[in-house]
Amino acid sequence: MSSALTAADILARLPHRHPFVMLDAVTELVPSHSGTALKNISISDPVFAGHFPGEPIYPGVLLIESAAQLCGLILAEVGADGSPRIGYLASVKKFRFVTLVRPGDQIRIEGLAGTHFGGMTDFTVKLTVNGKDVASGSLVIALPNG
Amino acid sequence: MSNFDDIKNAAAERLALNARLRTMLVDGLELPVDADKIEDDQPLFGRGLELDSLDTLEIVSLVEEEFEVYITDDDKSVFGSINKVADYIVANRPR
Repeated sequence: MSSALTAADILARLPHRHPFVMLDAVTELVPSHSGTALKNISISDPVFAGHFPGEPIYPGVLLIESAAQLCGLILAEVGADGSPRIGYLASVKKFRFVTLVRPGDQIRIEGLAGTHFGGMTDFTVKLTVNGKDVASGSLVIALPNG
Repeated sequence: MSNFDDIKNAAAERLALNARLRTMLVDGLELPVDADKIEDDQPLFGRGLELDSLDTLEIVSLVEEEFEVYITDDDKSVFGSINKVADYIVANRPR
């Protein structure tokens, strides 16, 4: 069954905190299967102080991290002790960046789980802005004792 | 067909399966080795082909795609060698 998460829900399920919480909302979430998240890009983000002065472009590596946080949420079941299980980014494969992301953009991030084995799950992810492809690739998330 | 021909055909099929697996691993994992140089009983991990745990996920995915055979967490011994992967596929592939 699909559900949605607010920013507060996301903070309750991920260990990340400012300035490394990358997602603003999750609009769809099917645990262990798939999810869709939104990320708003603001000129207030301190990363633009250096990337790049006078030409703000959101870094591709942070797009990967944003997708990884969505994949972590897809796997973030609550453990036996009541706390969410934390997934770690284990591999990044075949990532392509096809459009620059700038302040004012709202990124839609889609993640779909694939093969699972030995506590690791691979995901196909796709990022778009207004329906236009921004980036896509594959990630592996590892869950300790998963 | 004679019993001898059956055995001969089964052996040829197995050789072809092992060769397909070797090529699948080398291409899919982008291994810097010649597929023909991998021995059927050579360990895939450790001092064998030196694969790691991330590679197991890739092999599981490749076997699913190529053979429609699903390896689960209970089947970790499958990754011992090419022969062990082949045995598993023969025992579990759709008829």
